[in-house]
Amino acid sequence: MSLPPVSTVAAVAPADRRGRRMIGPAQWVAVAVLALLVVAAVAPAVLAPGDPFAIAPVDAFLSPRWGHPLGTDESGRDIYTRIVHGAGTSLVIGVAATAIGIVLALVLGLAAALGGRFVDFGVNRLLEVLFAFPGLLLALLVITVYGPGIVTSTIAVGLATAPGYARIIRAQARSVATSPYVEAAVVLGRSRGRILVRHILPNAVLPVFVLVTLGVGQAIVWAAALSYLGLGASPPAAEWGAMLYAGKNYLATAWWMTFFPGLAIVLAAAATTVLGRALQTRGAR
Amino acid sequence: MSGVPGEVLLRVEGLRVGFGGRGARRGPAVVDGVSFTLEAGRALAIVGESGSGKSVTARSLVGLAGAGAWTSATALKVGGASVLGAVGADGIARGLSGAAWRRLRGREVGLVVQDALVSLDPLRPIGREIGDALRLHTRLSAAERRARVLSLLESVGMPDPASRVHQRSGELSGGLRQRALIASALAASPRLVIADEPTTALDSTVQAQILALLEGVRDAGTGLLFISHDLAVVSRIADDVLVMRAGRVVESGPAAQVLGDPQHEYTKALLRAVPTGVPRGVALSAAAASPARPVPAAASTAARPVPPVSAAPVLEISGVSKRFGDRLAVDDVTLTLPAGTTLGLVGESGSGKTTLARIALGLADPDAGTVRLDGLPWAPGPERDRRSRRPLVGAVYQDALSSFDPRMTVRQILADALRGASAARPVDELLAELLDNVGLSPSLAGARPLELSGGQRQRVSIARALAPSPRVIVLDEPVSALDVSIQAQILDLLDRLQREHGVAYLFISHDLGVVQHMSDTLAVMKDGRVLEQGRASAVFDSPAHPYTQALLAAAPRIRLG
Repeated sequence: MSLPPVSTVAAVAPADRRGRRMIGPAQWVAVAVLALLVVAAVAPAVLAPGDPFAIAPVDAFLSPRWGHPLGTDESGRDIYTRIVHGAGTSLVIGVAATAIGIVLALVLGLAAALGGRFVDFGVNRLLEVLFAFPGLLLALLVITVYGPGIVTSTIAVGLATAPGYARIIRAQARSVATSPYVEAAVVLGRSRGRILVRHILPNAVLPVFVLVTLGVGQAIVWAAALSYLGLGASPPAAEWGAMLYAGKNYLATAWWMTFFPGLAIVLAAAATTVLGRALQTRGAR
Repeated sequence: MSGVPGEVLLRVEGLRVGFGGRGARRGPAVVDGVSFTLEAGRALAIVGESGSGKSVTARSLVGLAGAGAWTSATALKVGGASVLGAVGADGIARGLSGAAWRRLRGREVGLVVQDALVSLDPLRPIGREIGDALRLHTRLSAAERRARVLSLLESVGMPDPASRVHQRSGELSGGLRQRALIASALAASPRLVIADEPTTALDSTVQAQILALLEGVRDAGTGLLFISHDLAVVSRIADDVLVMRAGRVVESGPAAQVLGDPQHEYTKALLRAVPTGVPRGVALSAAAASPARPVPAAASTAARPVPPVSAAPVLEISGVSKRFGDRLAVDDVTLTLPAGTTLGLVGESGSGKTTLARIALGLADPDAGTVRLDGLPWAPGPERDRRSRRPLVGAVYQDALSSFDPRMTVRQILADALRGASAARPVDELLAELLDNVGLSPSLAGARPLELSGGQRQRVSIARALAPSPRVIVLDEPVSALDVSIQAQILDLLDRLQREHGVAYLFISHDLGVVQHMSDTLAVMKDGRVLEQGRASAVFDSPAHPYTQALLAAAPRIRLG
């Protein structure tokens, strides 16, 4: 009879496959920018052989030119070299802060989702208090208590981003925990521990890692903002936020001192965000 | 809503619709060479399974085939006027302009779709939604419009229209929503109404009411183009039937002829797949059917011996109640499932049958009463006590896809279910046997459920339930989301597995036809209570409770003439 061809042939959903090709020109540019950043972070000397701290008072305040493509600062240090050498700091701060945020969020979010009513209540009230402060303000609070510096500002940014992730992880874990496939595992007689490890954790946590790529960009911006306020890395350091801070007094006469570090921050944040979005779209199937 | 009887409202010749691409590189046609005409006061039904192109055909008549669609036809006339617009050099119609379509929609053609919940604006009262068509297409004053909306709601059988007018779609039940949607489609008195699966989401008693309403619309002189996958529904309302498959018309003609004396193999297979009235144990699907059964209603010989309803009970539900808030979802239900037989549990949405299934599965504890499995206490009680006996019970759900961990392949899902089933044989061997048992090719083991068809997913789901060699499988609407031919295959599969493995089924469905075909014993549920139970044959032959009688009367079956 003529039924089987339509009904039993495997349909390997071609529509899905088409949706997965999310790499356009913007994504390629983002990949290139990130690749450059990673090279600059791992081996800055490859891109900029000079010394980022070499002072040359004679060359102070040079506008972009041959030999100093992005100009020099008030002490005659080469801006290009400093930006390249600052990439490592910015990237490490961004990744580390996000990692701190996500680990904290995992603990809080999973505890709230799976720990029973009272834990959920407690965690939720805590998150609400944290949410009441704008993220940066929360970071400022931490720095006020523990003093400025790169390490504290990284921790501060991590803490400030944790509540957002925690909420998402909690919602995700709850929906997975009540999903039909977890129920199906109960019906098969699986223990709570096994269901947690095999079904709930992977399905609740993996989608969050897409958000993390988005978060790194934001963390870079926040860390730079703290440095700009003089609360993170301090001026002689080749850190982008600190360079902005140093350049702000000469904004009228030496625009390149602030423009190029700012551009670096924007590019780094934009590149991670573009890639994060692409991953997100892909994951959304 | 008047048309001159015999006036041709719709003339479609050689309609082709496809998606994507342009010019010579356009995408393949999903509707390929469809032709029909529809006269005033008649109902034409387009029947087909998912992917047959029936909806695309209907929607292309109002310019709503979808983004990126291309249309070509020898003739495409709605209400006497061509809606093809300018035809390009490539033979592809450019279609009407947006404004021209809008003049046509609502005034000439009314559209009723399946899901009224998403078709009515959830933030606006239904009175305004219906009034919109009047505001756009008529010159009535506001007061006249209000009066007309009320009379429309009354004509579609909306109870208490004066207060319903102010309600939003979310406040109405599914049946009332569908009535509101029909009222809005009829508002500007179109001569043609296109109804795309208008009753599919509804309970059978409500479905019968909506069909009667649409019949009234047709009898008033409106042309009705009715799209459905359900032959039983179609046989009730259609004057003419067009059977579509994979974008082509395989058979067409007067309903009595097409449904009563089908010529094409596909139509025959579709008709055979309708379970209503087919005795227990008789195969429904083409692959296993005996040639001696051309029309299901005519079949009367039971191929299966009288089921051993006297066998020892494997599942005993006694005096079970479950309360959610102040609503009693399950109210003092007592049921017994003898080993190796099927207990059909039938009821409409909200009757508590799914809650009862969850209690039987030990997923929800009853507030009162007990469940015993194989003679031993099963529920209520801590999950720890049940775990060692979990292999005795399997579950199959309506939405198979969501019951699989999305990260797992078919192999992983089944291997997981086989854990601890039998240590004596290698998992690979058991897995191959399991796939073979449910009629799945071993090559699918590496696929993820997302990549499978609906029928294949349900087969995987059945294989998973079968893996630990259970005594009972609870099936909650296992075939409700499937096309009728796939449904037939799954029902046949379940029947065969029961005979081979002696497993008992608690078979839950809203579809009386399916339950009748599958069950040895039957329980009818409404508002949490079991109204009637007993031998399936006895309940169907002489239903005692008025509700059962109403359900039976509304059950989908092929009616001719």
